Amino acid sequence: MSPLGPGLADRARETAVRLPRLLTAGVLVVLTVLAGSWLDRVNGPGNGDDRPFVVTGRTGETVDARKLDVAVLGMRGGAVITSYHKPVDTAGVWLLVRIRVTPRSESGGLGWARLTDGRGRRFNLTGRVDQPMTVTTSQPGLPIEGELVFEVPRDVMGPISVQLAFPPIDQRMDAVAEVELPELTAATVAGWVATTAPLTLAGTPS
Amino acid sequence: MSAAGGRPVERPVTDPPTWPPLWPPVQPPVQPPVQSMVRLSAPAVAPPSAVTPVPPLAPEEPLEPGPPPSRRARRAGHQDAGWLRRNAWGLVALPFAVTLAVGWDVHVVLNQRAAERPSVTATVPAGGWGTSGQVRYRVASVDRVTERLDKYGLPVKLPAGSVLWRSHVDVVVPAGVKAPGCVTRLVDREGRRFDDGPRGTSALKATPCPLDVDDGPGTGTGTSAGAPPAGSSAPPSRSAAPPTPPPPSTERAVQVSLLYLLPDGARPTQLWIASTDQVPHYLALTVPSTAS
Repeated sequence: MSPLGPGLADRARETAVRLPRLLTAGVLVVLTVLAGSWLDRVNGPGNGDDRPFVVTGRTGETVDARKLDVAVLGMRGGAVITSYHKPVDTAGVWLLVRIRVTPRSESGGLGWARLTDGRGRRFNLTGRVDQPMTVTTSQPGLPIEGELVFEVPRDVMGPISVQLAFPPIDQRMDAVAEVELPELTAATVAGWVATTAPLTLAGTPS
Repeated sequence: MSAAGGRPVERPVTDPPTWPPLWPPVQPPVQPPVQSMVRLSAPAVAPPSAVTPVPPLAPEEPLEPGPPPSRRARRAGHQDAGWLRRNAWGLVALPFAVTLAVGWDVHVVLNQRAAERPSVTATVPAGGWGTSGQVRYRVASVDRVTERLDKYGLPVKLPAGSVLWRSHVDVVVPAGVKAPGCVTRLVDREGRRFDDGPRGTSALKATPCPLDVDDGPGTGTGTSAGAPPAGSSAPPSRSAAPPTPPPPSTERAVQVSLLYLLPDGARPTQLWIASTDQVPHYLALTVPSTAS
């Protein structure tokens, strides 16, 4: 007779039988979760399968961005910009990209833009100043023109490009127009920094 | 515990109480009969003279059903069964569970996509009535706007290369139904869809949705537009005289006018309209051919 008594002895024996099975099941569950995590990392979002369809173009060309036709018309820069009738300065430089947007089949406008410099750094539209082009819509076939404002450091130079798209939040599996801008030189940026006159957004739709 | 004088009270020592057992006593295992042990160890063969007649066996009584096996015993027997047998119900349920989980996910995603994409539920010929929700709609006219001054007397400024169009839509709201708003799009021959109320036109005359209709029967505001029975197709009419006067106590009729900005050269062919509770499912009302 076990010192634990007959009932406890049976329990101990049963636990001894069941414990390896429980451990095996637990290990299998952990392995399954790890395998799923690995598959998600290999096959999931961000691996490139759902990346946007990039359509490239050059300054002055009209690029098809699925719901929009976009064209980059030029760029300029400065150290101070006027927003809501007040000057706003920066430790870097304000880079203004003039664009034309034409909805193709339904009413809409530009929803998203991003600038990439020669080092691969990416700059979203600044939130420090008014960005009327991102809230203005137009009708199909009727273009609107305006400027986008990026705040970039003064060491930005080399080949830069701007990406434009219709979806404001999620550009995956959608068209993105990528337009090369004229190459920036240190002299150009220095000239912008030296400009003290505040920039005013041109062609801003009402 | 102590008495009033601080001395502990002496109590007689008694045996601890006996509690009923929590578990029923476990019966010791039944030992096999000794005969078998003898037979296995050393076969003993009795001399023929020592054989005593065996009394006839009494007829066996039918076995009474014993108590059901305990849960532990059943579990032990279950674990002894094969893996397939132990997981048979799970295997049967697995395809249904996977189908339900994946199918429901796909169903939700498809519904979300469908909700974002406008669709046309019915195409109505020119001058005909269509129903969106509980409200009936008909295109009365679609014309170019020829006004040069807005309601403030200022000149109308339009983007270069654009033309302003105005649609008049007859709306019939059943009695007792709160008039909903409506969403419209003007479609041209190329399939391009133009929203109403483009920027820069707020100073122009228009009567957009939501409809200014009282809930009382027959008290609709705006131009009376007539209300033929639902589903009927009446010829386009620009006159204020309704072709078939509706019962005033059952329906209210109004007319809304909406503005659209189209590129020069575009010709409207359809007007998509939907009550706000029906978006994105639109009615495609064919624009009368008199649109110019």
